[in-house]
Amino acid sequence: MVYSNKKILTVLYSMLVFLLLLLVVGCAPKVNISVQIPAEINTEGIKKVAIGKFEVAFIEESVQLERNGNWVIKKIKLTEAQKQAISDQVRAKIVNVLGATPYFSLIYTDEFAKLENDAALQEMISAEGYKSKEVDAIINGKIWLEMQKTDGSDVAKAEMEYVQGGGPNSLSVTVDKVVWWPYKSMRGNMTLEMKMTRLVPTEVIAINLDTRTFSHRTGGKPAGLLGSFTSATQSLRDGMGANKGKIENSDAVYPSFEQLVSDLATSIATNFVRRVAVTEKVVSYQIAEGGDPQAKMLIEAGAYEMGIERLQSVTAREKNPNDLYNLGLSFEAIGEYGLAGTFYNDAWERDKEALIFAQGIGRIERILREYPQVKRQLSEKSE
Amino acid sequence: MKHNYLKNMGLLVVILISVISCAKDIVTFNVTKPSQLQIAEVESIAIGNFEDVIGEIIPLPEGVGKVKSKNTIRTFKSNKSLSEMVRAYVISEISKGGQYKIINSTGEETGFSGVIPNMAKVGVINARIKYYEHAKEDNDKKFFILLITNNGMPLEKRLIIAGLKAIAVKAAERSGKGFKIPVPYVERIGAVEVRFDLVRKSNGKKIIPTQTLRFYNIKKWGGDEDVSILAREIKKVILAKYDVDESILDVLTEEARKTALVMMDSDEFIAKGYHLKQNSNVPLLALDLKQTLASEVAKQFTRKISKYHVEEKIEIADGGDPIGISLMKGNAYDKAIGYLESLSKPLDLDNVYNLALSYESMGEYPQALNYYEQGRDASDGEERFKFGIKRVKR
Repeated sequence: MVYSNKKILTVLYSMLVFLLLLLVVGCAPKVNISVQIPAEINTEGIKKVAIGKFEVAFIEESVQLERNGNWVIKKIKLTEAQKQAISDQVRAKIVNVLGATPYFSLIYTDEFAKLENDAALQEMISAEGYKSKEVDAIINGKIWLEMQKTDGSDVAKAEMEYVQGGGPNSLSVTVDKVVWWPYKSMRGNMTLEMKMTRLVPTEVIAINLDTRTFSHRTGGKPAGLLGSFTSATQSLRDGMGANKGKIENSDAVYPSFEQLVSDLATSIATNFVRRVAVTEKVVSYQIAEGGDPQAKMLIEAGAYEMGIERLQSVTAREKNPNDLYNLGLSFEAIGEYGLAGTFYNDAWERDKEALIFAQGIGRIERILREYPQVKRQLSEKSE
Repeated sequence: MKHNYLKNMGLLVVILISVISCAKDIVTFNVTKPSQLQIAEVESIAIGNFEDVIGEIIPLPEGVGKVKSKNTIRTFKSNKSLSEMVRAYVISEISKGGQYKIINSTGEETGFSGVIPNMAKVGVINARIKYYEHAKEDNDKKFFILLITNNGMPLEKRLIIAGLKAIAVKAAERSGKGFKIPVPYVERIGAVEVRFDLVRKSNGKKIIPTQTLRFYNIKKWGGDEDVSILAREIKKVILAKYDVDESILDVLTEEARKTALVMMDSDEFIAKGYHLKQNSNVPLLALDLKQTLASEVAKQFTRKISKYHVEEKIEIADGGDPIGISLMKGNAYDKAIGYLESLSKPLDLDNVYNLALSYESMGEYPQALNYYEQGRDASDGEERFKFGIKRVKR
């Protein structure tokens, strides 16, 4: 493969930025702020949602065993009841994710889930043959799922170094050996179609097909440079992410079939919900260093009102740009975006090349652009 | 081995540090592009008949000459069903584009949602799908030559010997010398051909000519990388034209992005599925292959008939005003516009470019076009301005 110098430089730069981020952002004091993101598509008039059936298009589970290059593959036969249980599990996960957003009210009815497939559902909607009249829209879907576990071994040449003594003229030889490296692996793929249909007037609001995969391997021949790098960054993410500390994150533990179905479905459902609902998420922003330490401590502790009081008195005496930025950050945290923008601008006026101040302004610009949309979408739902 | 690993990582860090001063800053934004074909008078889309065709030949990729090698697989005869997944991807892509109202997403006669609007303005998508899939789990008889190397030599001599050894051993192993050991492998091959038609529901007439799209995939894990069950000539073309594997650079960039995201926005991290473990040494499943091929053909087709969104990554002109650059890096485009507009005129080319880029990032295309055109005229047609014009002209 041939890469242009520019591309290589860009990627290497990204990697360096990434490494620096780990060092700098990892240690820098941060504040967690909750922000609202508008729905990507217009779901005007939809307040009450029911969850329909998640039809199984394809489910397969298999186990592979390899010894000396000979493979034995065993497909696990799933009964209709087991397939239905998986479908119900996916549906339950979606109910769970949707239930967490205040944007929609869930109507708990099995009326739509009992139908055989999507065509039957659309027919029922078109004919208005449903009893749950308070429902505004239905979410249903289709599942493709495959899981495979493998037990085998890699065969690869390895160099073993033998050193005797270690002095200048001592014996030092490298011996080539063929090594069998046993491994176990697991891979899963869930492709999920999710469809939202408005009942009156009947309209398909959104259809989303998303895939999530999982692949894990323990043992096997040593990874190359890239493999080592990706596995190191993955371990790092596991250690700092939302699931940190969970036993499933250990490299030595494989998730159960049910756990994996749940993880894959949650991720896809979360992504779908972002398309159709205002979502609230927590983001981390950096607190500026070099300002009033007491105010910084108050912000770190989440005492924004007290932080504002403190910073207002500090900045009345001396307009340190870091204090002005932190004042803006405190206002942003309590949702006073206009004031936040004013103080970020004040900080930037005093140090125009500081990226952190420009980022503050950039965030407020974006919030103010999206705010009318979020406000409109939320007010429609509360009417 | 640990020593080698540390040496490699060290080398990587040195390279990274040495290039930081040359690296560029990037602006990322979403752009909506119009459909590649002119679609007149269509307001709604319905899925029509998506039919699997089994037992027919899928043509080999363009560029494959005469197949002389005697490998197991030399043709692709459709043997599996893929229509349901192609349908799902097509309708999902159309929904994302947002150009059309979707009135039937299943293809079933009973699948129409509500009253069918003016039938003359309804486009029905029909498709004939040929899909071939083959997986092989077996072993290659691989030859291994094992040597003992004396390390008690000066470094330059050791390097020369190591180089010669690598070449000689490889050549000997290829010619069948050494220990013969079965090395397990998994090889997966897929090919799809879809003939899409978009017809008007009122009269069944084609709105665009039939679109025939093909996609191929081959991948092998383990075994002898020089050996394949697929004819050499076909494999070479597929790898050159249809390889969807991420390059090393993509992998590194993605890793950086994921790790930054887990720190800044953990919800987005989960929504994107970045918390799920990924190991490229685990062979793909049949479903992975199906999904790759179906999504590729669906994406290619929907871009022909519907508007679509793409993420653009554009470099900021590094010779521009540093304060303007800092604002752009902080995504403060509105402020950057105000600042750059306030600089004394005439602006130099880099500032004109950054100003145009800031307008483009805000979605203010007429102003962006104005500055890109100014830059193009003042620079005697620099490529970056021409690309900008191409992006924002609509």
